[in-house]
Amino acid sequence: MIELKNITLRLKSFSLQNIDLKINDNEYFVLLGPTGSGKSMIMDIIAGSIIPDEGRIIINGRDITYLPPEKRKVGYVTQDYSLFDHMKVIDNITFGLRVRKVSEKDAMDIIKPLVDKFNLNELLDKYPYVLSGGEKQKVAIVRALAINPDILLLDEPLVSLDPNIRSRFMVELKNIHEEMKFTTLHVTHSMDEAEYLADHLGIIKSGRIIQVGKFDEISRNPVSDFVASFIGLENIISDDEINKILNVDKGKRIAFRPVDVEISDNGIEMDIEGMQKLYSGIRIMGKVNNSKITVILNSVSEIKNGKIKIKIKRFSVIQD
Amino acid sequence: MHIRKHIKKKDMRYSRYFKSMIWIISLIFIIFILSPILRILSLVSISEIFTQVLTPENISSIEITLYAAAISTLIVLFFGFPLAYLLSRFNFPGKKILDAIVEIPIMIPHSVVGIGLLFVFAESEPGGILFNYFGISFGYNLIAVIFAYVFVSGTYAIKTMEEAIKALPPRLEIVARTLGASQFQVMFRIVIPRIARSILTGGILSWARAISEVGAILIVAPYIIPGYESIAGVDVYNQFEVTGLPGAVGISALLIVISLLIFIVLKIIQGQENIFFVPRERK
Repeated sequence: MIELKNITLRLKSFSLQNIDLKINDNEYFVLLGPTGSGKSMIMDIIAGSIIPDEGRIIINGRDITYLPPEKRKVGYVTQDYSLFDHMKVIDNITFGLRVRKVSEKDAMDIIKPLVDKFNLNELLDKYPYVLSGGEKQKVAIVRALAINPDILLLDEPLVSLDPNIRSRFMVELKNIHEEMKFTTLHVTHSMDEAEYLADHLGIIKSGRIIQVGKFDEISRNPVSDFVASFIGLENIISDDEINKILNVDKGKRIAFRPVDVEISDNGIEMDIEGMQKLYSGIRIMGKVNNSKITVILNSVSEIKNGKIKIKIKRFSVIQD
Repeated sequence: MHIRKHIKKKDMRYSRYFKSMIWIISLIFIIFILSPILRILSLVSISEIFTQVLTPENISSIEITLYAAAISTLIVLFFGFPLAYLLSRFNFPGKKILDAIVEIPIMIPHSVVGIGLLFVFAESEPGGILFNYFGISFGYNLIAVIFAYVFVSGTYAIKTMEEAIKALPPRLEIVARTLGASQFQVMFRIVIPRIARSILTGGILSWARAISEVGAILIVAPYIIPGYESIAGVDVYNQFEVTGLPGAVGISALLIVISLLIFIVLKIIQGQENIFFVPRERK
């Protein structure tokens, strides 16, 4: 189990404040937050390139707060992969074993299952600069896993991949994790990755973790507008009339995704301000009462005089 | 891509007038650099090289020069690499000042360098007293030549390596350490191999700069006891003083040829796909 206890780091223009985080063994934990929220800094703190001002990092009961990076048993995969361009793929992968003086034969035995799992056999004799982004990413992950780390840190691992490769890689990553169960901390600003990959999820903003839970839990009970909009509940409205229809307490705000609506004759009237054809469906921007909302529908045949009647199928109540 | 290549070939972006101007001004400068070199070479025939230029005195002065420059380059790289690392990786107060100090040797007139070195290392001076204790003397010997070379040439190697280390992402070193490498292992297995090409380039620049040094040497070691030989640059000066232009031609030509040959060889090594088994950097 990895525990961050009250980690605080004060820098000139930014600070991490009282970061508490618990990642269970074999868990895939995703830390989700916008650029500049301090995600990568938390990675650097766990990897050991930054020492926090306060707080403790405990891995399996071992306090590693002040240990040098080489003594931490942390596998670190950075956004730009950080492959050693002057070494072949095989030498990249066995680097951690070679510096530990593991014999060449033992090293090969250790990496064999990983190389097979990630399909890297063809690439072992190549230099990193001829690899594609996805291949580089796999080499970086295998290199980190080869040392059998207590935790694997993945810093925005999918951000520099092409969109189609990205989805495929995400699936592959999930499948491999389900099989091998390495404890993982993955930081990203992408809700899709969080929703698909995370066992548990933490949401970070301006150096503070503001909500932790399973994706569904957070999405049902977001603690703030920020959390709601960041996990895709794009529409946030504060309208007692609508609350009454939905049986929500007066004064509360509700949030829902654009797809969580349907056309209904006895629904709420929405004034349409604009439409955008999507690959599947139509994105409609408009207003209900005085709140701006966006919905995605399959057809627009029900529009009459620039208005449409909609029913909110699923929504969350913001918990603040 | 196709079209862009085509445009580049045609150079449609520039007018003929503009391009001519740029060419003419550049060529004037190139001719200025090449003419003294080519003129000297034109004054020596191949038969003369063997009969008059390759004299034992000339050969030994060239030998001393190359040897001293090689030793000085090794010293510069040995001390220069940690200094370059310090300047590119560590943050500390006064870093800018330290950075400026590294560049000072480029600005100071080199005869002044010679005087300064004597004031530190001459027998009665503090550095000299310390050296004497170890049985080393300074002045009119190879040590003085090497010291002067190190002083005037170090900047080039240090700056080249500093830029290369700065361009290497620090995360690379952290990742290597999380994989279990110690700080020294990271240095020898990651940083040095990754900037090998820049180390070589810095070495070439420093070596070339050392060979061309005369001013400081005229002060600290105009000749080298016991044989009363001089380094090649000083030899040229001496022969010019004694016999005028014609006398200096031979040794000058030899110096040019040898310098260019070594320079070309090193440039070829530098251009290789692999240096010290390290492949070329790619973006």
